Amino acid sequence: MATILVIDDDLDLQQMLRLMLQRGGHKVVTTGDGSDGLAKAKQLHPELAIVDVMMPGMNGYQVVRKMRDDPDTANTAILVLTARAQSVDREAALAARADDYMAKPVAPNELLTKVNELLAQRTATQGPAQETIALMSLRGGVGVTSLAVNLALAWQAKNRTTCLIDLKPGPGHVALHLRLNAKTTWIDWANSGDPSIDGLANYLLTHESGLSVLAAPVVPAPPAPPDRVTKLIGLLREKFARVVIDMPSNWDVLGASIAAASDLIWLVIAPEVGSLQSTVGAMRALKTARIPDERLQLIANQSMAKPGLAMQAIEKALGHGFKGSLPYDEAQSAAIAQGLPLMTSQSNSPLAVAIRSLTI
Amino acid sequence: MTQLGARRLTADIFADSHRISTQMSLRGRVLGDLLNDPNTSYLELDIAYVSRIDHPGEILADYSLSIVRKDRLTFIVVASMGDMALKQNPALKMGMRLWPVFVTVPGFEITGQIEAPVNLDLRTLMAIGVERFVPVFDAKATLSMNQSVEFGGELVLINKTAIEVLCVSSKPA
Repeated sequence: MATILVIDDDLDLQQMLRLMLQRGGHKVVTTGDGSDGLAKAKQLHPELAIVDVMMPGMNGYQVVRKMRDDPDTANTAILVLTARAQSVDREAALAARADDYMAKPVAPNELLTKVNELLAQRTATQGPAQETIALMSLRGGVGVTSLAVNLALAWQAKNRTTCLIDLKPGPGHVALHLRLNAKTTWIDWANSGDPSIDGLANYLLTHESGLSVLAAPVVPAPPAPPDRVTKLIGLLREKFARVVIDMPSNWDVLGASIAAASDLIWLVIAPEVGSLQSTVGAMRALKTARIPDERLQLIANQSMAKPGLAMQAIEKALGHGFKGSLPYDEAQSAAIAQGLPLMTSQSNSPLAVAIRSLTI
Repeated sequence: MTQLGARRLTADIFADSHRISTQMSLRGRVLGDLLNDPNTSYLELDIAYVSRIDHPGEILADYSLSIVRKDRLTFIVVASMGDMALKQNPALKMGMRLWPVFVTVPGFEITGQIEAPVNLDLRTLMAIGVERFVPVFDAKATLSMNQSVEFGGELVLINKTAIEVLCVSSKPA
């Protein structure tokens, strides 16, 4: 799945592109305005942007040039899709540093083929699409760490070089779930003052699956400055295709820094009133921190054996649909106790299968 | 299957020194009728993207309100005409043939095909009667001073008053 940003002021076309690309398995974000498109590209780091040329205010060539000049968006694949259908228009699009050009009207299957070509080219030249996902809940005990561990293992198994960070001041339990000795932690790196990616490698633990892990201390430590956290996430993004962050279950400056530096925030919710209330609070906190709603995804986790609130009731209360739903799995507690995550020890268990489906 | 981006007609309007790209919602009419409508001397545009002829790929500016004097524009290129450029009337095609043409207008030479009777009469063709603009199909307009700059389309509508020379191949296409 790739994230594709469509910047086109034709609302009918936006809608058609959204349906077509979603059917192709992609996540689609649309906007009709060039300036807003630039802001969304900076926030969401899409793998591909489809950009119209004839838009009022900022035209498509200006959008493409600004994206290429901004290090945050310079590597996005860009397809110019325009009704200016002359050879000089193709030359202008390529001169603005778009990757390719198509003239409207275009047949849907031709466009989808071109989109997939550009995504494949991008993967070949830049490696897999990078994504940083922060998992959080402001209520403990809803299964955030279990999900983070199994999700990271699922991606690692798909040959996506993945790093799992337990970004708590302590105590963290990621190392325990993976039966690793947390001899070095992210707090040690933060206090070292070493700004390099090579230096950071000295603090990473390696799980037998190949997963890289940056553990939290067992004994709580003073939190690191937010700029060190942002730097840490930035360094890991350079090195790994996927970065999975197990966030603290309280909201403070550290939490806000992690959320701001992540591509996606998965809010984990158990079907009970306390978790629902905490999720409402978390959504408000993220909104106050100006985290765009598009970056927020909800995961329902049936972490208890007894049935709880109905999913539809939770969705209605939150005004937000779920990205996925995880079943209760009685094997989970033994897996944690033994340090043998389900994703590696019982990969066909219902919970492992459900978590793997979230990586598609 | 529906083509993406086919609901509005996109046209490139050429005056002496500028290219104006526009997208039109024609509200049930066709472009040919609007151009040949004797009741108005102007063509109003919903939005206009202005380029200079010497840098035709570069957009200088866009404007949400514009108006064009029909008698002063040279030709209009429609890359993909669909059913919004000309009325389709099979009855009018009886006894007609396609003729290869070469046309010069200020700054450009245009090649393509016109639809005309088998017994072609160029004076009748050039007469400014009901139709002020002559449709040329599968056409290509080349900038005379820089032949690398071309504008092609399924249809080019040429203002008859701008035509300097019109040559027709003796053999129908």
